[in-house]
Amino acid sequence: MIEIQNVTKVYKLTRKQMEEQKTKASMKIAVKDVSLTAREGEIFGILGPNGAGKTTLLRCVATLLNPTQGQITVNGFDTVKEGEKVRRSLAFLTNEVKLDAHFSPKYLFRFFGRLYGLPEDVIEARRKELFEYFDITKFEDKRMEELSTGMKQKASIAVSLVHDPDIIIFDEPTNGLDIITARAVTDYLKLLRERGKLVIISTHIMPEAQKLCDRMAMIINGSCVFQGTLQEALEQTGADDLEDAFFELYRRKEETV
Amino acid sequence: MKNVGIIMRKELYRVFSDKKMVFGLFIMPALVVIGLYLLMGIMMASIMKDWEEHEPTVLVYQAPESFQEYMDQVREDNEVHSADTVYKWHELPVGLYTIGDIRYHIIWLEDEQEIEAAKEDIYNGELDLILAFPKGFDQQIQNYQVGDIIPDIETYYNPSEDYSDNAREDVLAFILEGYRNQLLEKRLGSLEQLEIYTIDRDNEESVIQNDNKAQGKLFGSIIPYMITILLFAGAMSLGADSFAGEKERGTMAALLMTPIKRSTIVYGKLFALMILSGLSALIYGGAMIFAMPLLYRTLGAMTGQELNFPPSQMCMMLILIVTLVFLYVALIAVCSTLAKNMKEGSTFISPVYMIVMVIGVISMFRGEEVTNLQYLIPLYGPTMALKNVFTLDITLPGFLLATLSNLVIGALFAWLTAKMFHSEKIMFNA
Ligand SMILES: Nc1ncnc2c1ncn2[C@@H]1O[C@H](COP(=O)(O)OP(=O)(O)OP(=O)(O)O)[C@@H](O)[C@H]1O
Ligand SMILES: [Mg+2]
Repeated sequence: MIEIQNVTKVYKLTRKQMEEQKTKASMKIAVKDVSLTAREGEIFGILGPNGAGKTTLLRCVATLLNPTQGQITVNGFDTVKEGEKVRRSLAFLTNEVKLDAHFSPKYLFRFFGRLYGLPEDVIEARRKELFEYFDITKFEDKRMEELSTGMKQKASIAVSLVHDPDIIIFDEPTNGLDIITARAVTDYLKLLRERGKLVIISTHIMPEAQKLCDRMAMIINGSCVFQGTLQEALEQTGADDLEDAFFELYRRKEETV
Repeated sequence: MKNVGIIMRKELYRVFSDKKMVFGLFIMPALVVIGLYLLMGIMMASIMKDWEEHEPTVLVYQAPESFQEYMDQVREDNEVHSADTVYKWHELPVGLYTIGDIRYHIIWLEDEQEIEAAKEDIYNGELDLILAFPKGFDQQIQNYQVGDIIPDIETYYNPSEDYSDNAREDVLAFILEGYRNQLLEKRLGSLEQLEIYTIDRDNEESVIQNDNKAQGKLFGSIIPYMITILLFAGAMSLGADSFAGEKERGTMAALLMTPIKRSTIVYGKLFALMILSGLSALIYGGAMIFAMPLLYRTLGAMTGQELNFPPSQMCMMLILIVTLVFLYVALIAVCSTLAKNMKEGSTFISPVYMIVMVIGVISMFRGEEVTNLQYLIPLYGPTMALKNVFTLDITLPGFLLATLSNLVIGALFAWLTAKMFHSEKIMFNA
C-alpha cells in the first residue's frame, strides 16, 4: 500500500535553469500538497499533462527524491527514513533509470538479482519465467545497445522485476513503443494486478488510462484535482469518456486560478 | 561487504569485456611508450651523428705568427696551406685543418673592415666561431712582466646554434688549451714546475659508491614522476566514466534503486578503479623498463641497468603506490560525482591532474631535504616518499607518515563521495 500525505516537492533552480525556463523565481513547486492512497490489487493511474509533476511525484515514492513537505509510506515504511526497506518492495521503471547498454539482459538480471541478495537458483528461475514471458530468451546474451527500443523496454521491465516486488511504479509505460509491444506491456501490468500487486503508472494518454486503470488521480500544475474511479470521474464532470472528463477538470482548474 | 564485491566485479567486467577499452587502457600505452622511446633513440642518434659530421668554420682575426705555427704543427694532415683551399669566404681562402677528430675550416683575417661582416655571419649561422687576437699578441707575450695586463683573446659565437656552441667548446678545449701550454712551456722552459700535484694517477679504485643508490638516483628522478602521472591518467578517464558517465547515462539511478547502501556503491566503484588504474600503471611501468635499454642501445651508449632493489624498499614502494592510487581514485570520484556528465567530469578533474603533475615535476628536483612532517602533506609528501624510496633516502617514520597521509586523505574523500551520493541535488540535479 502506498500512502501519500500532503506531499509538496519544490525544486531549487540554479541560475542556469532559471534562464532556461525563462523565470525569475528561484523555486519551482513541482508537486503541491498531494494526498493519495493506492492499494494492492489495483492499477492506479497518475494522469496529467506535460510538466504536471507526475514524474516528480513518482520519484518521491521511489525514494530517489525526498518530499519537501509531507510524508510517503510504502507498505508502512517511510520513504525517507527507511528507504532501503521501501526499495526492497518496489520496482521503479522510468526513462531516466536505464540499464547499462554495454551488458546483456542476462548479465544485468543476475547482477541486480545479486544486489537484492537473492540466491542464484531463485534468480535463474525468475529469469527463465520473465524472459520467456517477454520473449527475450533469444537475445538474452546480446548487449542492450544492440537491441531495439521495444526489446530494450521489455528487458528493462524483466530486470526491474527480478526481486518480485509488491509494488511496481511505471512512468509512462508505453512511451515510444509500437502497439504490439505496448499491448504486451499493458497485458503484463494486468497480470501483475491479478497476482495482487499494486501497479502505479503515469500517463498523459487518456484512452490508455481509461482501459487500464482501476483508480486514478489527475494532477494539473502540481495539484491533485481529482482522485477516484473512472465512473466517478465521468459522473463528476458529466462527460462521456475520460478525455472529455479531463478537459472539463482542466477547464475548472483554470477558472479557479 | 559482499555487495561491494558485486559492484566491483561489474565495473571490472565492464572494462575487460570491452575490447576497445582494454586496448586503450592496457595495450596502447605500452605500444606508445615503446614506440616513443624507439623514436627518441633514433632521433637522438641522428642528431649526434649530425654534430659529429659537421665541420666547424672558424675565422681567426689578427692571428699571431706563433698561433699559425702552432696550427701547422698540430694538424694531422700534411696538405699545404694554400693548396687545400677549397672555397673562399669574402675573397679569403679557407684552409682545412684536421685536429683531433675534427676537420676545421679556418679563415685567416687581417682586414679590420671585414670583422663586422664576420659577426653578421655568426648571427646567420654561416660562420661558427670568431677568434680575435689583440694587436701585437706575440710581442705582449714575449715582453710580459708580472703585473702587466694579460693579453686577451676574444671569441664570438652564437649559443642558439648547436654547431656554433659545439665549435667554441671544441676550439677552447682542443686548440687554445694546447696553444696556451705551448706558450707556457716556452716561457718557463718546462711545464713540470706548474704541475705541483696530480690526482688519481695510478688509483684504479677511486670510485666508491652504493651501486643501488646510483641506479636509484637515475631512476628516482623520473620514475616517481612517471608513475604518479600514469596512475592518475589511468584513473582519470575511468573515474569520469564510472561516476559522471553513469549519472549521464541514467544507469546510476538504476543502482540507486536497489536496496544496497549508497556507500557500498561508492566503495565498489573505488576498488575497481584502483585495480584498473594500478594495472594500467604497472603495464606502463613495465613497458618503460623494457624500453629504456632499447633507447640506450640505439644510442650506442650504456646498456640498460637493471633495477636492483632491496625487498624492504620494494615493499615500501608497493604500499606507497597502492595507497597513492587510493587517494587519486577518491579525489577523482569526488570531482566526477560533482559533475553532471562525462565532459564536465573531465573538466572538474583536470585541475587536480595539474596539481599532480606539478608535484611530479617538483619531485624530480627535490628530495632528500624533505622533513618527516612534510611527508604528511597530501599528495606532495607521498610523491616525495616514492622518489626517496628509489634513491634510498627514505626514513621509516617518513614512509609511515606518507602512507598515513594517503590513507587518511583518501578515506576522507571516499567518505565525502559517499556523502554526496545522498544528495539529490548532486545525484539527480534536483
Ligand atoms: N531536476 C529538476 N530541477 C528543476 N525543475 C524540475 C526538475 N525536474 C522537473 N522540474 C520541473 O518540475 C515540473 C514537473 O516536472 P515533471 O517531470 O514531474 O513533470 P511530468 O508530469 O512528469 O511531465 P511529462 O509528462 O512531460 O513527463 C516541470 O515544470 C519541470 O520543469
Ligand atoms: Mg514525466
